[in-house]
Amino acid sequence: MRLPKFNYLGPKTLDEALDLLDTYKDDAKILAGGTDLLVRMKKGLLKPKVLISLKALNELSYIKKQSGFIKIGARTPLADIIDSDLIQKEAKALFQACKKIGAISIQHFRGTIGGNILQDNRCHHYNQSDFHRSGRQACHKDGGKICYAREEADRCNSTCQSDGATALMALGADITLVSKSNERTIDLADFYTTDGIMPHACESNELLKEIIIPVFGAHSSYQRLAYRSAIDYPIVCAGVLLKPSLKNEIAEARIVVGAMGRSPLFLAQISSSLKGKKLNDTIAFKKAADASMDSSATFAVHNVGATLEYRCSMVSQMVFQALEQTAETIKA
Amino acid sequence: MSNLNPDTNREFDVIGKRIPKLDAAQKAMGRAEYIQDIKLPGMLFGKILYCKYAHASIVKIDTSKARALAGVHAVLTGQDVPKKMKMGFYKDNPPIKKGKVCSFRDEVAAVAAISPEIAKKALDLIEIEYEELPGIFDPEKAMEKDSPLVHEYHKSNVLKLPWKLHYGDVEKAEKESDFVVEEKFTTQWVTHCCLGTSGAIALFDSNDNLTIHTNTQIPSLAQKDFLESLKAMGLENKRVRVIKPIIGGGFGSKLDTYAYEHIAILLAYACRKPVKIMFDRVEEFKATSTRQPTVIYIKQGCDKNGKLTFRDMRMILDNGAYTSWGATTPSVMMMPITSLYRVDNVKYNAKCVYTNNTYSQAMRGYGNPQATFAIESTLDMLAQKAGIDRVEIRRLNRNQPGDVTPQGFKISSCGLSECIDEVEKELTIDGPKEKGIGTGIASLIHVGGGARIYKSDGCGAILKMDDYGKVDIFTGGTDMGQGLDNITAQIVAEELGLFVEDINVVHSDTDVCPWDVGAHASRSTFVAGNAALGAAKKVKETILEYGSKLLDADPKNLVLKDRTIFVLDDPEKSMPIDKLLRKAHFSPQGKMLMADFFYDPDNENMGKEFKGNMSVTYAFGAHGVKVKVDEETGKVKVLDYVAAHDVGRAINPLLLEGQVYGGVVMGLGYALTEEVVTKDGQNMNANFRDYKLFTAKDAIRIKAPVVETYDEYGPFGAKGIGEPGCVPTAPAIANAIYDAVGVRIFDLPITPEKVLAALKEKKSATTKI
Repeated sequence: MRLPKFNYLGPKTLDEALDLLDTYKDDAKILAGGTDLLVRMKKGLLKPKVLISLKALNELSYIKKQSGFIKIGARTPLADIIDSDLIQKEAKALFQACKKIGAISIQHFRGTIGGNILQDNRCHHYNQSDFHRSGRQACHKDGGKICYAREEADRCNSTCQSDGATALMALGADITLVSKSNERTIDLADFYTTDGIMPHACESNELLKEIIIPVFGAHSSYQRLAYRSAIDYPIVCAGVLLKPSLKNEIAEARIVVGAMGRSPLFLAQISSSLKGKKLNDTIAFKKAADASMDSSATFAVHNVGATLEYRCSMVSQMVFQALEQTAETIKA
Repeated sequence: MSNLNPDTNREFDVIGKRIPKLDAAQKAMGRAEYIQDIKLPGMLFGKILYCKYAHASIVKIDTSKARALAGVHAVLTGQDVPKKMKMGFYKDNPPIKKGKVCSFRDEVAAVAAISPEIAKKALDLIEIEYEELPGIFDPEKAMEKDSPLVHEYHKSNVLKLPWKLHYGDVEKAEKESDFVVEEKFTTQWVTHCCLGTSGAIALFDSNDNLTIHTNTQIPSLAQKDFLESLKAMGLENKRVRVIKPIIGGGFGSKLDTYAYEHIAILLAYACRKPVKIMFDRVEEFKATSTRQPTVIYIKQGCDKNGKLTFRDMRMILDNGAYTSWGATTPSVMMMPITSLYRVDNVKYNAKCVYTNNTYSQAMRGYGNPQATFAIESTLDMLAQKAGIDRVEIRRLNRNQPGDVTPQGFKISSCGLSECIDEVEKELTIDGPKEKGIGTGIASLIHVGGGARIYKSDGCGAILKMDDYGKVDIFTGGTDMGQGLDNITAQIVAEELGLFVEDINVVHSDTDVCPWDVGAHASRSTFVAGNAALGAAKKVKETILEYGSKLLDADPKNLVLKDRTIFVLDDPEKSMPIDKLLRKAHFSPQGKMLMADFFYDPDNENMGKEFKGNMSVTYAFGAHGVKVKVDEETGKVKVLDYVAAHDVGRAINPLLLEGQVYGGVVMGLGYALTEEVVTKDGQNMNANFRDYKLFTAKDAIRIKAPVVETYDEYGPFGAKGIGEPGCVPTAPAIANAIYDAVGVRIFDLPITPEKVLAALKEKKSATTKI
């Protein structure tokens, strides 16, 4: 399978890139590694006229700590995040997530954190070759009116399988989007539309510039399940953050479940149920994990490989393991 | 250990040496020319249109728009294919279908154009009207009376194939058995995953003789298929030259000819230009054949001491919509069924059933992995029932040299016992273990000295020497990456006292190389090796004759070594071999040294009741594995793996280990992760992200101890080792999982959800008690 024809543009500065994006808008796609984008283009899922490469934009590649926040440039290679002491110490969930993305070669040579967050949702009915899709009615995501993953569904049920997004949402990260005329910072959780067709609330002239992670004495963990040790997207994953109080109780908790719905699912109520619990309260952890399974199960459909039943039952496992591991880190 | 070979104790210069694959450097540097790299002057690009239904009538095809497209040279449909042009041994598969389609991979039209892009565009312009028919995707359902027929003319979905045998008296033996285990197993579709995708270039000369460059493991048999196609096209008495470029993997996938090859021929003839058809990865997944999926019913019994009394097996094989070698895998399944361990009473019955699924082909092991999965899994269950140690039951029933099995296999050399020793040396099979950790063992038998499936199991070799002490050897054997080029060079170099770099191995071109039945059945080292050795011995005799005159010595007292001929008890008397060659050439009535040899092993076609010594010798092995099962997720992690093989002699231990490592990793994928996922006959995971081939990160360190039994018939004592590595892997894993957590999985692949479901079931069963 070959790439369809497109024009390649290589801006030298962010301003230049934003100018180009403002000119081409929907006709353009941002190339920041391409491990998701180029595969989709080869399958004919996407036919942009123009690719704007961020290759030369080293100004978007950084990891720094600034007044209580970790700031990461959107084009930072995954390998840099994995190698960063700062991330390993202060944002462990992100470190763990990046280590699982693709394979070592992808982490080192191509993959960027921005690309990982912006990877499109997947569904094994949709991510098929041109020819495969041409033999049937188009599904919602393909411009049609039906869903092959869930019968009679009135909308697209594609799944967000981003490791990075799940971890970052657990860490309570914000993201900064920039366009030629505007710059805005929003909670990552608000970046999702819950529309499987266009999962990200990003204007066509906007570019993901920065990821901002608050540092406030909390600890985190990311756990995921896949069949193989490399290449696979998670069939289910969980990111957890716990902030201990002075009495070694849980002052704040965030539980996020990934690969179960159109976006990573921040389970606010279940998270707050852990407030005031002791760090060694495994019964509370188990309860929260089971509740996480129940609430995320309603969002999931059978569309990313493993059986739905198995994925649902594994939510509880992943959440529990992440909670346990986070508590262990705090205790240590 | 049996020690029949007079060469056993000889010191070798080249045999037994770890010589890297001769083309390794050119492959690593990207200089090797694959079919993808070959361009011929005036070449057109062919593309195939596949159907969009599993089962449908073709109501109308309109190709007018495609024909009108600029750059298109030919558009073919089923109407343009000669009636007698059919593929496969069952001759049920025309290269382009007409009237109706029976699977998603059915070819309905083909185009040749000046560029791949235009060819693709032309395919999009072909308009076809279908009328969908009910499909049948479950072979057991397809056997029911009122099931829709895949091919109406065949009158039944069950193929008329004779896979049935009964030796001894199974019913009586079952009654007399102290312990019996009866189970059902199922195995999935898996595919070869050759890194080099399939492709062919066909061209005709002005006299309508065909040359075809194609990725094949069977140049001579492919030549025969293509000759038949030419005949069907009305081209009688023409020549066919098959040239195989370097290929990126075979594993059995290229043992038959495929529609794309015959379509390339039709297009080339229609256009009078070379036509190239190249598969992309999706096509490679969807339009090449898989390993045969099976439903297996097995009963096995033993007496109170653990001695096997009988084995009774019944199988249903999903044939898919057409028939290729997959439907003949029962002939090889018979081997482990009748002859893995000593068992006198054996019964086997296999039915191949048409469905609207993809059709299967040969794949490494050729049915043996499926049968061995059921046999070795139930052997553990039997041992447990009889209260006998798992290793002990295998030792007790092991094959031994001199055995003749119920099927008439004559076991010449057999290192099964030593292989089990090696596994135990590297891995404590029974002993205290941590929670969730277990070990498993499983053995194998495979053909190791050719396999007389076809009327001839032979291979020819032609050898010539030049004036500089160099050799060209033209072998019928095919190198497909497994290393036959090395093995041939090492055998010839050893015999003639030369260096490996003195030997140029020419293979895979039917115009210059002699006949060979193909690179299958782990036969190349044995059969092509013996052919090369035979030719080398003939030339050596002539060299010694000349040497005797030139050095004034008895030929029996002459030795070839280090490119030199010398007198054994007077080493000062010597002459470089190249000098001898020149003296032979440049003298009155001069002579250049050359020889030919055709080796056809002394094995037998299976006769009445499938009896007969199919192979001259048999390969044995035992695999041991240690796994850790995560009881919360059902995930299985392989911790340690030992694959011990009786290889006769390791001609090149480096390449041999490569074959074992590759085989084991392929077997691990079969056991744990790999599966062609289908939905109503349609392949749903036609890419390497969703088809779960083991990645480099999943691969584990494998210990591959070699047991050398020096087979008397093998070249320098060697037996075949191409396939055995992936044969007992799945049952070894399944047995280890049982040992670790007490659940047995009967259905491949053993995915985490199956393990977890079994664990849950076991837990609820225990709580009920």
